[in-house]
Amino acid sequence: MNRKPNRHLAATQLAEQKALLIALSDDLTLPLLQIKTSLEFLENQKYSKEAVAQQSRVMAMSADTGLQLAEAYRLVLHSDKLHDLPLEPVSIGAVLEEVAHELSKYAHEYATELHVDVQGKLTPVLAHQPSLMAALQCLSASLIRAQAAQTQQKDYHIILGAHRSGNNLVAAGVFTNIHGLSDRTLRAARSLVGHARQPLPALPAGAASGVLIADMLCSAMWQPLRAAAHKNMSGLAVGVPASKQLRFV
Amino acid sequence: MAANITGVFEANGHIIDWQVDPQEAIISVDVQPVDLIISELILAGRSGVEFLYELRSYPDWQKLPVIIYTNVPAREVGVSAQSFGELKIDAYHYKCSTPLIDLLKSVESCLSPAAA
Repeated sequence: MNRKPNRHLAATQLAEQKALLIALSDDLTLPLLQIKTSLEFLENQKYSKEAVAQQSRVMAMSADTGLQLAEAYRLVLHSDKLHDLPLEPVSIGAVLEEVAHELSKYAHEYATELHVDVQGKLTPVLAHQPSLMAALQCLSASLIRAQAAQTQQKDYHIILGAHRSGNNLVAAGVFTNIHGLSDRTLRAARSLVGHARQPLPALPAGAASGVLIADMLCSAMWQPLRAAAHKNMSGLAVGVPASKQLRFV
Repeated sequence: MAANITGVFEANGHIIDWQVDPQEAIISVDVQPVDLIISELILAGRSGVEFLYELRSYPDWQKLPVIIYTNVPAREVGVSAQSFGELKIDAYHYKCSTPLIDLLKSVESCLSPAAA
């Protein structure tokens, strides 16, 4: 009797994975193209010392972008097992600081300054730390690229922020000046992934799959990403439950 | 990638004005006339086809050469390809299989007096 729904569930999961893989392959093309055109540029410049120094930095950054995406995708592939992974009390501030630290060089290349802002004294949250970190890292990297590509400015700012939300939740997310990210566009993107080249029309090419991977990781852990605001900046955040265990410690 | 394309073209004597926002591109062309436009089809906030429709709606730019240099393979363009006739696209290049030097040759061929 249970066979039919299970088969249906498996088919749905397979379709979701396939759709994400299509989006990922589109987005992985970009760092590879960056490396390809960098090599062509170097050839054109006869491999001058100055050009090699500059381009090797760009190529390393592109390789990092691709590897980040591949790593986060690997976590999504195992996201059905996230329910079995140990959730532990995690300091959200420490996670955000670590993500900011990991991405600081990357952000610098996009003239972006990362700020961590935790509002009030927040109790630890209950999460699988590697997955939460991967989701926030993937989301941040995508929004760094997106913001720099959406508008031409001298420098950019991004907040990795957390604040208390309703129902004993802590909202943790990435906040920028990017236009066009809302719950509606996110819902549309979830249904468009795999079918459209640009599931999030507001974001430039190459940034959507990172957001969608982060969304899937957050969904597997607790709940999907949603539009939120923090310090007059808009962004995407996940609601993570506060750890009840530590509230009494 | 923009810097690499700009670098190769500038090294070959061309002046490049790079715009991220399609609307800014329209304004920029209005302020500083150009000889040719290279456009991606996937742009933030707006599709490249929409951008080209707007560009072609202005009488001054109806004959301005346009080259598509995109991450979308021609086989996937589908319905949009039908509108390319109206948009008077001079060349279509898929980024993954077009070396920058070929893009440069394509631009120079469009700009050559024979093409005019």
